[in-house]
Formats: sequence, C-alpha cells, structure tokens
Amino acid sequence: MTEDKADKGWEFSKCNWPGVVGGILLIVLPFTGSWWVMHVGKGAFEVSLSPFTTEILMFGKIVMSPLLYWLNIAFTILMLLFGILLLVGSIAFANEKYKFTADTLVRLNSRKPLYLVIVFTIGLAAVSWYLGQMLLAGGFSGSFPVLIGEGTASMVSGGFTIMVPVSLGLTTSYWIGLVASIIAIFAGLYQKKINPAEE
Amino acid sequence: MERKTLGLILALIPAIAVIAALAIAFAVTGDAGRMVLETGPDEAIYGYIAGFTGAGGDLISVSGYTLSDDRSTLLLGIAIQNPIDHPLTVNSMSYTTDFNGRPIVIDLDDPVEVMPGSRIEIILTGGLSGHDQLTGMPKMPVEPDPSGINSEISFAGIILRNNGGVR
Repeated sequence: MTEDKADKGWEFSKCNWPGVVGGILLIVLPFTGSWWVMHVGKGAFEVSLSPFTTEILMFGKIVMSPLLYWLNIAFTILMLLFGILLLVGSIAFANEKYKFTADTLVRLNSRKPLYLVIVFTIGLAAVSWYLGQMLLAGGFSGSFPVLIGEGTASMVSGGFTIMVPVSLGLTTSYWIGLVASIIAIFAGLYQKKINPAEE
Repeated sequence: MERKTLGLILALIPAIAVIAALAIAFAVTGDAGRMVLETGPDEAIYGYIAGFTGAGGDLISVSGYTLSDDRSTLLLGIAIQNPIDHPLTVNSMSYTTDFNGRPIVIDLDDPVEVMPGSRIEIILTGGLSGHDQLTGMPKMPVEPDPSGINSEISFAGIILRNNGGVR
C-alpha cells in the first residue's frame, strides 16, 4: 500500500494552490515594513509598528523598546514558520506519500496568521486609546484618534496655547498582511473541500 | 506523527516564543517600565514645553522701538531665545501699538528659524502713513510686554500660539 502511494509520485495539479499563494505571502510578510504609523507633530514623536518591526523616533532620536524588539523577533520567526509550513503542506499534498502530514500542516497553520493580525489590531487600538488617555491626564484636551485618524491635542500653559497634531494610520503592508491571512484561511477551507475524508 | 500531537506542538510554539521574548526583554532591562519604552513620549514632550513656558518669559524679550532712516516705518526689535535643543520657527509675530494717537500694526515679514540654544534678533515693522511721517520727532510708544505680542512659534510640528495678553 505504501509503495503504491509512493509510486504515484507528485501530481502538482492536486496542490492546495491557495495555500501555496498564502504561504509565499506569509513568508514575505515580515519584510514588507511597518503596518501602522503614528505621527505626533512633525518629527516630535514618530512610531512605525508591525508585529515584525518597530521604529520609534523622538525628536529624531531612536528610542528602544526591548519588549517590542524581542517580540518582533519572535513574531518574525513564527510567521516564517507558519508560512513555510503552509507552503510545504500545500505542495506536499500533491504526493500521496505525504498527504496526511501535508493535510495536517495546512489545516493547523491556516488560521494562525489571522489570529496575529486580529491581536495586533486590537493591541494597536488599545495602545492608541491609552496614549490619548495619557495626554488627557497630562492636561491636554481635544479629540484623539484610536487606531486611525487625525486629531489635535491642545493645552494652555504659560500664556501659550500649545497644539499638538496627532495622526495615526494603517499602511499598505497591513492590508497585505490581512489579505495574506484571509488567503491562508481560504486555504484551510479549500483543504477541507479537497480532502473531506480527513475531517 | 498524530495530528493531535502535531497540533499541540504547533499551538505551543507561539506561546513559548512570546514567553521567551517577554523573559529576554525583562532580563535585558531588569525593569518592567523600561522594558516597554526607555523614555516615555509624554515626558519628552512635556520637557520641551516646559522649556518654553517655565523659563519666566525668556523666550521673547523686547529691545525697543526705532524709526527707519527715511522715517516711513516703525521698527520694534525683538530677541528670541531658543531654550530647547531642537530648531524652532517663528511663523508669525505681530503687535498693535498706538503711535501719535493712531493704531499701527507692526509684524514680522517672513518666518524665521532659531537654531537650538541660540538667540536671534528680529525686527517687526509697521508702515507709517504720510501724516505720521510728517510729525517731527514723534513720541515713541511704550515698549510692549512680551506676553502681549501675538505670536505663533512651532517646533517639530508642535505649535505654540500666543494671542496676546493670555498670560
């Protein structure tokens, strides 16, 4: 029986093609740059974030975040792992010999990238809300955007009205990440369709 | 390998990676606060703002009024001291004074940049009407209090505006 499976060799028409595309996109994703940017003033405080990269500049000087630095490394490794496993599983499904393991890899890895996107988005919303609260607590007033948008914080001090423009936005890389994650989800659904017996 | 075993391993890997990242970050800094950001953005921005507002009005000082050589323009010398280590721009500055019983608006022609820690002299100018020029040696107006001068100063996109007499 095992020999029969091996004899059939590779039938690439049986590849999980959404999984191949999704896997490649997930592998590329950590290198597409930041997903979210925040500007306070013009160069006063700049933040560029993604699960894989962090750049914080305060008046032109780099500010380190050890936590984000190490989390970025962890998420880069994880996303590469998810992408490689999804890609390998999607291609290996074309060979009867590896079919079971390939099916397992695709099903188990198809949802995780979307979880990361969702957690990152919720985390950003929480962080931007918290920054707004920090400014309010510091005596500023005004409307502060959460996740995306523009606003101006203002306060009166020492005879001056001080106005600090704040803008937040998602970048193209974020949408690439979301699309890649949705394709990965689709790959998992497609896997169930082409191999329902493994349910 | 059983699907359940493989599933468990793949589920544990992200958790282990995140816990390891948290542990390394804490080990490197030894401080939960500094682990997130070495310097808080609010501290830095407040530090800069305090440089302007807490220095007892040293940002702007008035040198005094003069007349141009052809006596067609009233000039007010203003000294701007940049108290922070970031360039600042004086976008606009103006003051309305009383000259021979007539209101004269004197203002800054063009924005000027003041480099970190430096002090520059700028001149606000106001054109006099023909009537004012003909009035012999006029009595010069009283020097304004710096807090009464309308101004808009910016640094790194942060705007400080004084609409005169707000203090």
